[in-house]
Amino acid sequence: MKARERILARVRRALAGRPEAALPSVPEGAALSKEEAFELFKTRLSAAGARVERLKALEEARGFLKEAEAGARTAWVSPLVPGPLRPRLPEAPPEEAELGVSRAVAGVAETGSVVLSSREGRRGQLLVPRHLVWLLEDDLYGTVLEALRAVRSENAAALALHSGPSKSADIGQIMVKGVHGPGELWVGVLAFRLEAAGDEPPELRDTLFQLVGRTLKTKRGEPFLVEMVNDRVVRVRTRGGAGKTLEVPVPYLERAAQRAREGADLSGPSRLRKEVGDRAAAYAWAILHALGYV
Amino acid sequence: MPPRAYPKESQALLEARPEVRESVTKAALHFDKNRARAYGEVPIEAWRDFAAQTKEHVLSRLDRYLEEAEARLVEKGVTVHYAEGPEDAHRILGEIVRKEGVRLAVRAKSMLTEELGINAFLASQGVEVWETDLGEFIIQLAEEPPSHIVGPAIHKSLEEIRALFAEHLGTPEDAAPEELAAAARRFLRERFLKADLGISGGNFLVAESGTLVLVENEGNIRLSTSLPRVHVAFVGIEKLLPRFEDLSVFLQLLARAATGQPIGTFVSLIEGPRRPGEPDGPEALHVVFVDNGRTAALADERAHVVLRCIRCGACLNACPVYRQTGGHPFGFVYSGPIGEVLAPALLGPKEAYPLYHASTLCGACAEVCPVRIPIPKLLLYWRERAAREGLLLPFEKSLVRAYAEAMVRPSAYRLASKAMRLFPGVLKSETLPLVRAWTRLRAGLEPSPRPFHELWEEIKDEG
Ligand code: SF4
Repeated sequence: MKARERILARVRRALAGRPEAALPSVPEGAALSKEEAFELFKTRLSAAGARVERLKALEEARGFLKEAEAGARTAWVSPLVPGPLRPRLPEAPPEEAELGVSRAVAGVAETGSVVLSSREGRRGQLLVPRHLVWLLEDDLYGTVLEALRAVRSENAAALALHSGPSKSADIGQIMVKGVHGPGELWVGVLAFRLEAAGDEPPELRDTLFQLVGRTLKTKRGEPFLVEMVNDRVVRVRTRGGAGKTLEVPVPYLERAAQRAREGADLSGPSRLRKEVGDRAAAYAWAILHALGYV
Repeated sequence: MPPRAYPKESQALLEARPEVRESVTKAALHFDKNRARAYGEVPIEAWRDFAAQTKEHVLSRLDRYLEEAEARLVEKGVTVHYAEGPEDAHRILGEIVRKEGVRLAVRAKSMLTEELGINAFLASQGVEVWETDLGEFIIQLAEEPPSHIVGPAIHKSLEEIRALFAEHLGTPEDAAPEELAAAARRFLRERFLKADLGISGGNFLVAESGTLVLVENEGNIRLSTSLPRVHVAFVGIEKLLPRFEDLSVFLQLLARAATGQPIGTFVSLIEGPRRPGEPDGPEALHVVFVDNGRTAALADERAHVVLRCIRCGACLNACPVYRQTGGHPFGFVYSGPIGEVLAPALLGPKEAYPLYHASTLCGACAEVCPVRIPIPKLLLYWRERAAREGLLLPFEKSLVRAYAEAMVRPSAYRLASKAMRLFPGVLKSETLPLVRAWTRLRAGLEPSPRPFHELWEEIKDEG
């Protein structure tokens, strides 16, 4: 590490006696209403060549999905995408899939961006020719600053802002789409709550995804972060210190939800343990509570 | 080809390949027009103040921020290295290549890796390297260096690119741009999927969070940093930002200055290698902090402000001198206005001579710079130093002396300028060697109808 010491020493010598220049505070943008935010989001993303729809019910979302499926034979689907919003196409790895379906962790109106997490895998966001991204309307922010604040607690190796299809003007200044990354970007903004949709009560596993990135509290008031959800487990991280991660099996949550529907008393983690056993019951209970099962 | 050859090289280029001037001018003016429109849509002056002050703050406490960034990166599982110059960078990369058994590497556009000669080094190690940015890929096939920070191949016409692709990728002679891009995509996609190593630069590195930030439009940087099992990022020590939230301005300012977009199409915020439970991503991430002249620039109290530069290329697009030739004749990785002041700061005024003379001091660069680098002032500073350090050629010395004479003695100046207005023929006369050299490749000189000192009296109060 000699180079390190030498470089740092040169920096210190260069700065010796130089006063610290003031650090300005970060300018806050104008706050936007929900409607304004969506309008700006749509304007910006459309100008960049993406397709954007605000979807007011599951029906509409399914229609949008169907359009995106057209012409594709296979799809890659992010583990963060809930059942009703998954395409009815045979799944394929990202290298082969003709459609990729992601779920954004946030959206930004002022730049027309969706924020994607490496938790769902990065290949599917990049290798597919057509990329469909679902964004919950609650996760759409007016400014980059607000969105950055919101995603700060994401536990992911990489976040990426996508603000249109891949493009280049390197060949004689002529704009070409689909160089390297997806040539088509579709964004469906979900302006409805998934559990309220349709007559059938939604499956527990289809509603879990809404918790990703949220901070919940156990019955004793201990905050924890829902880091990731897939078909098998819900991964949570406790706050404070380094924080530890725990996994709550999805089948376990389903058994509990079933017992709750049958009228069992699950008024706290200890009751939950009695009914269905202990698999990180304190956190499992908080998850079921957040979804309204207990 | 060193900076010293600039006068000869620029002239040779203008004579031998006039089409370069046309391609470069067209592209640069297009960028500049979009920038001007994009600046008008946001509180640009407040953003420029913020960006300039934030960068100035980081530079004034760079040691502290480097240590902070390093600590955060290490916590996130990143291996941090320091390189004083190309030798260190090559040694570090060589060790990674050997340890990881790298055979194929993909490179995402980065000016710093140009400074460090990374491609040639990897080739010498038997590693196959591919440029993945379309523009960089074009010039890799043409075996040329980049001619613009943002659009490395803007000097190439569609016809030239067609011929190049026909030869290397077997595309038809009359292929449309879409076909050419598709051919490049297919060719590079295979390499992306097979590569062991991805090499990138870094647009920003956030000290408080250890976030490596990369901005692009094609997606090749995301692919280069997501698919290969090893990612090495070379980051200039001046790229640090204090706070994660600073990105909210810098990301937008960079894109608006560079191309007029609200934000780069793809922005990567990378915080370490793949984490447990994630489906993909590199297993190892190395960040190499590079000096290569930056601490020397920092030590110069007047010139250190060049280190604020975020490499947007706006000053190149605005520059009437750059637009005549593009970047190649400059003989330095960075060309145009920023190249003219970065070269002497990084290499010293002797090595960089005479790049800081390749300017008319029109001030267009400073007007557009998102971090308010006073480029014309710096040009004067370097000219003055060159004169003081005896770097001028004897011929130029006498010229400068005559000029200085006229400048410091108002009466002589007025007389000379009056003479020119009264006898404009002098400036058109091709018998004067200096005038001939000027007019051979430029429009003839017209003396201004009113002397500058008169105009100045009117405009100086405007600020
Ligand atoms: S000097 Fe300013 S305008 Fe030129 S590239 Fe750097 S940041 Fe951009």
